[in-house]
Amino acid sequence: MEIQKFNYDNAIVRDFIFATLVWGAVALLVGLVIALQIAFPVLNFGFEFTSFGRVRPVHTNAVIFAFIGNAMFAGIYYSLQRVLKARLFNDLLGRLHFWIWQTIILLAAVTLLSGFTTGKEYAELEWPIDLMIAVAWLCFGGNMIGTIIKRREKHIYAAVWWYLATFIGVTILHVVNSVELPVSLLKSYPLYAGAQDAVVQWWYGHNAVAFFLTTPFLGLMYYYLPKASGRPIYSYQLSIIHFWSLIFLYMWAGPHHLLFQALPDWVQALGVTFSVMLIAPSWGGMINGLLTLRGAWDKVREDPGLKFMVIAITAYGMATFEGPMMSLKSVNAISHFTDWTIAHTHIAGMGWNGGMIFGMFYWLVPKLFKTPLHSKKLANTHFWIATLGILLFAIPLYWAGITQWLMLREYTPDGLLAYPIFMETTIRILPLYHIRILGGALYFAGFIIFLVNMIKTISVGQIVANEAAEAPALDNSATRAETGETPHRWLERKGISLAIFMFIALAIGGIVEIIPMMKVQSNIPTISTVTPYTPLELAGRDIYIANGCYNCHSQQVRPLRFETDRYGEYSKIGEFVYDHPFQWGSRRTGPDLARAGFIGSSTYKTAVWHYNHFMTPRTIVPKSIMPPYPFLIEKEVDVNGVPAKIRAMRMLGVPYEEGFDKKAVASYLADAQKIADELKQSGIDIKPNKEVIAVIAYLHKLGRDISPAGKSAAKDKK
Amino acid sequence: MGFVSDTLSGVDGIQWYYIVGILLFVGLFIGVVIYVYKIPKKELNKYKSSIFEKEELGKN
Repeated sequence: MEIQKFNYDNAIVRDFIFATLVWGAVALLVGLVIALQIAFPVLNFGFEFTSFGRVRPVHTNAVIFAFIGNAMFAGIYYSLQRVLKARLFNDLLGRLHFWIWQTIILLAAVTLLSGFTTGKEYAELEWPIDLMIAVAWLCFGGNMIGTIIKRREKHIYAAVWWYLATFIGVTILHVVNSVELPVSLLKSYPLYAGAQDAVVQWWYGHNAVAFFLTTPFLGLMYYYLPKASGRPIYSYQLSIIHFWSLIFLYMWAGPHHLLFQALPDWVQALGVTFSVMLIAPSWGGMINGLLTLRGAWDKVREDPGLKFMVIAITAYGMATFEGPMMSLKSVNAISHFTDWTIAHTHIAGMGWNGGMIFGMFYWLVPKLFKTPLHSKKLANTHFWIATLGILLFAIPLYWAGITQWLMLREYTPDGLLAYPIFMETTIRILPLYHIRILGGALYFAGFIIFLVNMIKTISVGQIVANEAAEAPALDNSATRAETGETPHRWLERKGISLAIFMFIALAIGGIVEIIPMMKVQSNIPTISTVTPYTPLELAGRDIYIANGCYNCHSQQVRPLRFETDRYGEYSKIGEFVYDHPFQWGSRRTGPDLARAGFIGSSTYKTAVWHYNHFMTPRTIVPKSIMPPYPFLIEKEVDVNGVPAKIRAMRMLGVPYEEGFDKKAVASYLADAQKIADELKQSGIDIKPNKEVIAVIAYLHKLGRDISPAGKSAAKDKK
Repeated sequence: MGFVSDTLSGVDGIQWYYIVGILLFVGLFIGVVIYVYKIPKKELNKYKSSIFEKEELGKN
């Protein structure tokens, strides 16, 4: 048998390791900043670039795509080459992938802080950056598939299946969720509206967790845990079963993010059913990971990297049990819109992803740089500080979530809400936010220790950029009939066919969930009194999105007594048919705004109230934690850009009359003047083209169309 | 794609999709379980040890 000599590309692994270290520090620091901002709103500083609504997406995107993403690529590129016994398919593709990815991260930070966002959680980046993501992702996938094709190992080890599923899954998600119509270089509207947009977005959101935060890390677990512990994976049978089960089931479960919300019942039932079933394959992975350490627990005691992997797998088990429980309607009524969800995501992010990254790096970096770890003691200190940090972060948030829910649903003996003012519930949980800061600070401190340890290790080590290796050449040409293999055995050595089967398993769930929502009109019942946004309201909506208001305010009243008593009539699908994008939110740090334009609702406020509230929230609502928005009073709307937005909306199917774009500016100024006049009566002199006027107009639209005033206006119009 | 969506849009009883989904999954699950338990143990051991170099296995 011919023995072939080749080199592993270690330079690309090194680059992604460096990027992980840099972006990890940034992402965690920004997380700490927003935790501080929630507890101490003065830290928003009154600037648009530093307000919570803009900084929070920077944290989530930096953690997911910069910290976790770069670590994932480092781990995959190292293990992929070794498992397949081949150098990466193409060096240039690797370099392009690296540099485009880092450029995306930089652009993401700049655009999000500047208010350029699609307003869809975890998919906030605007269309040119979406295109760059597609290019970087294709470089990654092309390199991986090319390496699989030119490999020297006949059998494709389980870790690579997970990597392949990651590539295919994220490709499908990114393409479907990013279909948007550009209005300008940094502004677009999604093709989907309202409930349809919500289904697509949470199908994406849920499966981004699956295929960016779970499947690649299961793949990394299947490689690095056996390597670090020196023991093969416990059960290869279990790895096959839980792989196919998990990738098949995940795609169906997205709607569990939208329970009790304005969606057809069948979609919600679909989400709940498949979420509960997900426990089985998820725990299959956890059990396989933990049992791999059978007989090696003495090593765990000694090795900080293994300790982190154990924490990671345990956190994975906890989060994947908790997730399905949270998708039960009775539990979801408590957990959704509260800090319970934030605790859940951080158990997974800090525990599972963070734990796997730290565990992997403590094994990989010394190996790659051919030197022992600088300090085991520092690594152990990191482990204990990080573990304590996770606990001090998550426990107060579980407590806060349940406390707030109990308060929100509390009634007096007379049948009235015991805490009718939302702010009362926020004040009660503020001390828990302070403890959360301590947890986050500890986790960040642990990261700094890790960073120092890595830098010290790397500085004394030396990397071999092109590491020599050799392996027998692979003859993979035999047909199944010649070898007598079972279909799956054959599939396991045929990378492309394996990828096609994965695509089919992944696509079924998405197709069944999304296409009927798009195509079956009975799923989207309309309401005759609901009208498209006026040009002024549309501009206000865009400002609302740009400032990330959806990060703290939902627009969805669930059909639960304590919600309808607090906010008013529950939300209906037909109310959102012109919402490109939907703005239902996922967490209520402040009250729901779905009825902010419904005169008589507790959330309806006058123009003067809103003006003063934006200027200094605490003078209107004592102890409010909302950031001040004085810049809304200073900044002007580019009124000349409004006609293009109307034309874009018409293209998306919003029924503006033909030629309305030509009347849009006049309509805008006339409506804005009315609000400016109203404010003038209270002694506030402001030009009609200021941003605050548009936002007030938008807030007064929310829920108005189904209110008596809105219905009567619609009747008069007819 | 158009063919698939047009066909689906005409389907009555779309609320049964999740039942069909469960059945699909159960079928897949049973198939995979039967398959993996038919793989010879020796072969499985070979695959799961394939990521180790000879000297690494010797250590444990």
